[in-house]
Amino acid sequence: MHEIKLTQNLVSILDREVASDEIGMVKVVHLEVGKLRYIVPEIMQTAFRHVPKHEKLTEAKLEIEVITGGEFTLKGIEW
Amino acid sequence: MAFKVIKEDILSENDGVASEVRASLAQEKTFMINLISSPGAGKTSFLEVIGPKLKEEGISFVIVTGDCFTSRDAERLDALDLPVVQINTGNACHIDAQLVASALEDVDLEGMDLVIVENVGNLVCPAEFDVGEDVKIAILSTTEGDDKPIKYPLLILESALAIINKTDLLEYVDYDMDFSVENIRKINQTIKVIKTSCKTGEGIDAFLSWIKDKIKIKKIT
Repeated sequence: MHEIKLTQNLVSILDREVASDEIGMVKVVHLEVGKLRYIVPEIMQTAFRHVPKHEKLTEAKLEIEVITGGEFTLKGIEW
Repeated sequence: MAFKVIKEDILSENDGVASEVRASLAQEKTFMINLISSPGAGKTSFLEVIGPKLKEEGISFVIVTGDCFTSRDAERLDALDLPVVQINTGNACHIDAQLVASALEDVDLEGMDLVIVENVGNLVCPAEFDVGEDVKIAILSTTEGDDKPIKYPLLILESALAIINKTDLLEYVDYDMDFSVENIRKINQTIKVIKTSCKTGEGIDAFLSWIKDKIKIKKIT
């Protein structure tokens, strides 16, 4: 269930990042998630589809790399 | 395709608010604990036991209690005349820094020794969210199985103290205390472990002595 809240946090960072004119429609959002975060990537994808977000993010997919440890980092965006 | 490297911690917004809470508590030298357990491990029962004892000791404190929908915990604590602020988290499975910051807006922290955050019963999400506390405390209990530390290592890793509650029920349940403590220590070498029973009072004095030391240290730093 925490995926929804975490996705909202992610989107608030992304909304800020994509506001710049140089960034177009985002295709991929790259994330690194530590195993200790107990995040289920499929639930996060679903949450990301449904949370309100900037129009440049509406077609974006999350690319989630699961790593060891407790990191939870937005690595970058592709457009 | 163009790429922009961002590298930002996704919890940075929460962590920023947590830092503000921590700074305002530091100003008043108020110690804050974040109590985390599964539902039914005994967080509220533990507070019902230690609350009156903290009062007897002259320690000023407030309990910020989180509950998804009801005010049952707050009512139990209020019945003992303990100072309590209720947070309803609705669908959220944890308390975050903003909720604590808002709750503390109504609290006069001047001269306050201790803030106790009673988190929502859950071993996963509350472990992730810094709310500005000095320490997280994991409350485990003998009725929920001795494998919880290895199943939920982040909480153990993040906590300064693990309380193993309901020791009065040990003779009725298949709880291997040595196995549990061994796993706690494997995950976190510096964590302190206190075994308690809210029924018999076992370990309550040990906890009070631990918390009094922490409050004292916060006052002089």
